[in-house]
Amino acid sequence: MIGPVTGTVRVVRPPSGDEDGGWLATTSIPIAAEEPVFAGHYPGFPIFPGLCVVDCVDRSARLAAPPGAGGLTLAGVESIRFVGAVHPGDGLTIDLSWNREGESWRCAARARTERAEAATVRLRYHGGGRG
Amino acid sequence: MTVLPDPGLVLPHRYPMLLVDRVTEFEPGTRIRALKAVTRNEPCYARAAAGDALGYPETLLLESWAQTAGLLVAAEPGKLAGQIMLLGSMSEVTFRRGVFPGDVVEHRARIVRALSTTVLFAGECAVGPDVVCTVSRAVLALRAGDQLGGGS
Repeated sequence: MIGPVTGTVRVVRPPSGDEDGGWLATTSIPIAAEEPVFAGHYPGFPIFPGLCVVDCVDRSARLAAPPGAGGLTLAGVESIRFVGAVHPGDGLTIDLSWNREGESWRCAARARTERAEAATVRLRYHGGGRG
Repeated sequence: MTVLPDPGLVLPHRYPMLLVDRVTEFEPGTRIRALKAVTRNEPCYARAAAGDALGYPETLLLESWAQTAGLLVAAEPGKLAGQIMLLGSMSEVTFRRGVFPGDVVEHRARIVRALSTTVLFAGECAVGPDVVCTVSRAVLALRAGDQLGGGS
């Protein structure tokens, strides 16, 4: 596995169809104090980097993709909004909402810690391509 | 001639999250270009398994670009004045092709609009002649150091 975050993403709720033809899923990942990124972000003042939250969303999306989506390639970011800090020892819970648009899949996600919302993220994937 | 800022002296980031190697062009208040060399020795590849595609994670590419944008603000003398910078949001980012070990990425960031506590950026990442990623909008927020509530 390639990425900056060493914690393991767990699928809490596997993808299930919603009434609008989309898919909903939930994952979680512990952000342990031992995550290597904390050493440099920042020394003596550890804050989980916002784009590492997005990395957790991306990994979650790939683990909890809708059936038949195939190998997903990240094509773009529609929007990312960071709203709350993530600290060592927090747990992230990520709610995913998938919608298909032609050959593309849009994944809207909300990531939150036990205390507060951390980020809202909208990613766009090409489906069925290289893994 | 403007002295080119050293990322490690301007940004608070350190290994393994100092993701800008060298600034190559710097016009305070306007635009910046900087280089990031991606190597197989990057910590993100430490746990790569046989068969893994070795694409540099798009999230780290964006972090590296955002650090470049941050350098444009932070390296301007007197600009931060004890404040800290937070990445507040990004929008309309397109990835055009992958980045791989051995690539040298050139980040380009320009200020679209600067307000008192927020700075809006746009830019792109290129490898050689190819634009690999475009960023339509990124917002950096300046906050007093003791008001760390949101952002990253």
